[in-house]
Amino acid sequence: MILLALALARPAAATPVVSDNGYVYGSGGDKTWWDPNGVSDCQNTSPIAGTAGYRNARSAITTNATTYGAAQWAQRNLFPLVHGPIHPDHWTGGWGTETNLVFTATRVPSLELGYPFGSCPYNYRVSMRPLDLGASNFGFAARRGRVGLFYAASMTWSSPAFANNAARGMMTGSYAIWGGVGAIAAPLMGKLDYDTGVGTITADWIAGASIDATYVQAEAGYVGSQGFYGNVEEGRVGFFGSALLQRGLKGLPFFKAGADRVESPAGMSSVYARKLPLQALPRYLDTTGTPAPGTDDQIEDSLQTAHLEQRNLGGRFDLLAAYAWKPRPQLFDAQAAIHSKGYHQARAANDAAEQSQGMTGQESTGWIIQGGVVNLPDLWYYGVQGGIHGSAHLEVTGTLAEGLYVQGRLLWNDPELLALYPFAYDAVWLSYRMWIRF
Amino acid sequence: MSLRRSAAALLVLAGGCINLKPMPPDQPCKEAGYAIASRVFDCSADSELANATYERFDSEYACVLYDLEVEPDPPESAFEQDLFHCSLAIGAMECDAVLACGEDLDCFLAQSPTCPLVVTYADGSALGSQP
Repeated sequence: MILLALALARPAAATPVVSDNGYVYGSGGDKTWWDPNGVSDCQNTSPIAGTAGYRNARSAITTNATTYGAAQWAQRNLFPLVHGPIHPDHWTGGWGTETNLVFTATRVPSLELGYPFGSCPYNYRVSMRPLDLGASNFGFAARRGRVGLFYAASMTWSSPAFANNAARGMMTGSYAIWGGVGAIAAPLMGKLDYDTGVGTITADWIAGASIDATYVQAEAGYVGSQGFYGNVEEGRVGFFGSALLQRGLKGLPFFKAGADRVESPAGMSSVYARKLPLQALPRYLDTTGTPAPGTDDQIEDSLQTAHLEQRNLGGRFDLLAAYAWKPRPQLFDAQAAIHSKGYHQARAANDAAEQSQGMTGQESTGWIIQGGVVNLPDLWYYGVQGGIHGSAHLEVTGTLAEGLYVQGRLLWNDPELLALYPFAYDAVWLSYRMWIRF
Repeated sequence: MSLRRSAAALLVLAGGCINLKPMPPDQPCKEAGYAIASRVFDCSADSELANATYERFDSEYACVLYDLEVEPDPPESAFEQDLFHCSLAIGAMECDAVLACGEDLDCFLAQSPTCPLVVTYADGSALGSQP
């Protein structure tokens, strides 16, 4: 589609304006239907330190590297592959890969360098440039009997968006491909941490062993960037609790407790409370990258919410609502969804399937379309004015062959995404995942 | 809708909607307010106080607007980057200095000589002109 669009494009010739002193500026750029503002040449920019957008960008980069780093990804997507029935006589497990892209996680005030400049319109000499984030993950986990092994690697990156969306789409696609290659080779590259400004690349990996004690699963390993890692989980009954041990990791400590997908006459009901950390404020960085003095630890706010979810109404519809009491008491989000039959499984049924067949409810063909509103609190210290925003969530999961599953998601103002990036209102999140069980 | 415009609409969607935006005219001024709120939060761990501080900044001060639609003449006179030194200097304040300023917003806005370029009192008078 992108190539087709480029082939159809006929850039209009711009007429440069030459000033008395010979500078070429203010031409208005090459305005086309795919670049109506003629900003394609506004590429030589630098983020402006001291702005909320710059600090939010640095914060988003840390969150991206943490949330989609090898350890967190393995915990979410790899360890479940070795939960289930125990086979002492043969290996079971799986392989998986995932790519996540967040478009416009924040906007960074940026200065066009070398002013006066060629074809960048003069009213874009300071622009609000989007920051795009990406992450590619790769890994496998296998178990024989109660003991198993796992390995995962990640490549996370951030990039100021290209000024026109066609180039932006192409470059993001190539980042995703090279990110996947980089993730596979992460341990070979050693510590890759190109982390200055707002254009960054970080590679990481984790390797270790797991043990299944039926009601408790434990994993221990080594994270390339952070050192030793431990994780203990329990989640076999409708009422659940979980605990994370992440020594040395810049993890996301959270609290979540309640009833999850309990079967009821109306479908499945969930009632739970949750505390999520809003991303810690990054310390100010001056133009030399030196943090502002006087604060040794980053201060962190939290999003504390109560959730009431009724799924599978009539087998096809969901209603979800959440109320926040911190940082400010208010309705946080209200959502409605339609989905394919059998899209949700009760937690107890899901666990039973996992025990008997080594499968989860995700591993079937299905789809969901969810929409609603999310109400953000004012967060002026992030430069964010609160308010009500529309929200959408599209997800498709399919089975390509026996044991081979794919999942694609497109999210806009998703409440979960805004909890991670509270300044990312109107961001678009695209992800796809593939995994194989054996 | 033509094929081109359909393709453009898809590209725009895929690319995260609108790309570059020119700087809003009040951005350098608002950045000063955000910087004050951020340092108050960073040094007090009180998000309510930080939000309230910004809201007081918003009501007691006014923004000097810089419209980039106006072409600089001569072009090398563009000095927009200097307008953000105010927020940079506030952000570099040590916590002792932040706590010493307390609720005195003028104290924060005295951190850089560029602050009067972007912020005035609500009545339009220059910073420092009121007791």
